[in-house]
Amino acid sequence: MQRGVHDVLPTATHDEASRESFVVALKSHVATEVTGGNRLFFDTVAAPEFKRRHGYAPRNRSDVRRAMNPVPYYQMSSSLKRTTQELMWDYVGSSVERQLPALLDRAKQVTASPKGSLHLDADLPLPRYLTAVDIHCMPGNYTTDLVDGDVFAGALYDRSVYLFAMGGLGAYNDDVGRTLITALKEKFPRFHPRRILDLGCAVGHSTLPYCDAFPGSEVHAVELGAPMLRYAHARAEALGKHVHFSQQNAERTNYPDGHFDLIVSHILFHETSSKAVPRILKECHRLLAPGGITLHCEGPPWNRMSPYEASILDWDTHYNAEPYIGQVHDEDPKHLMTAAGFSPSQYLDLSVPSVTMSRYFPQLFSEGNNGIDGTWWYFGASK
Amino acid sequence: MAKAKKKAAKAKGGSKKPTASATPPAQPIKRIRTAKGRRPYFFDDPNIDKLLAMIMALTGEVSVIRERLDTHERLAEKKQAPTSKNIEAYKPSESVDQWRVQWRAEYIARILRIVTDELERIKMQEKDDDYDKIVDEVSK
Repeated sequence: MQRGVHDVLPTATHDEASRESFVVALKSHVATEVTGGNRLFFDTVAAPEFKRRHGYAPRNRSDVRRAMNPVPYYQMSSSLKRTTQELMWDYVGSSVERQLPALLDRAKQVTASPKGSLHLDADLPLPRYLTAVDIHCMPGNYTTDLVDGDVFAGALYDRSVYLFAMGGLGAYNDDVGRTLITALKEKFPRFHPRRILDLGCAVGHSTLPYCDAFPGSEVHAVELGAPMLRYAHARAEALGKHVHFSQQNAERTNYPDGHFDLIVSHILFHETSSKAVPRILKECHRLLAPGGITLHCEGPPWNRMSPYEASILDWDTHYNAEPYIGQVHDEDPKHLMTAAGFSPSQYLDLSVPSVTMSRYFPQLFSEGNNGIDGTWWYFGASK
Repeated sequence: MAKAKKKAAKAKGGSKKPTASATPPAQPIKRIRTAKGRRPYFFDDPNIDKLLAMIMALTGEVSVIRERLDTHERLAEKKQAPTSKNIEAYKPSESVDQWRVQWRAEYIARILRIVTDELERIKMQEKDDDYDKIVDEVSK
């Protein structure tokens, strides 16, 4: 699939593009030829050995990890996976660093007379889950400003997400949003929100499709990282989409009660914490107007998969600096929604085939690539 | 040789490197290179993980050189000089792109052959002492 370009997307020299292609090829090889093989070692070597030692078969993801850690094949595949992730950030990081002054200029130019808006709050306290680790090994995380008016983190993220997903999230990395919209329109064909809020929007990959899907709706988006938001704003303007970006914590925003008809998030929760998720959902309840809908994309709960499958996703908890991705899948989504104030009868739970992945890359998104299988899972409620 | 170098420099528009911006800052902006959070090591000796990281980085650089060489050859086919400017301006066609995707996949499979080799042996249900048995058997 051809990558979608826009005026603030970092460019790549011949060799930079070549490095990017290499890391995609390496990631693809590791996903399709290497990591999938772990299952065989689990069944034939690790699980029997675990049972011999402990007197019972591996019962959960932690048991699976303990069983697999000593297996040389697992060590090799894990080391390759981690190295591939680091190479990706390093390749794209060096390219963005080289052209940062030009990117800053372009971001300024495309936002000179904006149709959307950007509100930053330099005094906003950052939660510990964003300051303690650099999520998924992205050096500097979403929040570091290298220079005044910085866009580095956003540019790094935009270019890298495309590589990480091997293009599977679509030309503009917007698959999670587009798939949610498809499901929403199918289930609620007459629903047309006046105001939409996207929580933890990053650079707005999944935010922008709402502009086209619901013409005339006001689209708002919050995010904690200032360099992500500056880039998101510039990117949206460059692509002619009108979005109101604001630097706020989704746990407590400054919008009035009942301000939105649709509140969404796209793979946000696993990057927060067990204390933050209930607060975010309570905030959704406060912000949602009667008749409104809220939907959130995450990986499906563990209890819908085997301990072995859960351990594939749990790899990132321990080895890819995503400290909450393990626990978040243990939460009971229906309980979370009702605890936030939504009626159990209004609970929504949808598994939806991805609009781009299942079409273009069915073979890659099997077990080998973090358990992503071409289906997105959304939970939420109407009010 | 010196003449050729001079010619190449001329084609590039002199030896001056293109600047990224009309008004570059006095100090280059430096990125953060190390991600906060534990760096996991998987092998019993962490130096094996480090060596693997070095080998894969080197594998990446060889891939880049190979692709650059391919660009040289593609330019030559069009009777163009392989100057930096021509290399940067070169846009591979879809068929060239596909060939490169295929080449990279085969190249990486060659580098990582030993990893998948272990997997194939498990699939073959071959045990290490099977071989010792055959040594005994053919020697009797």
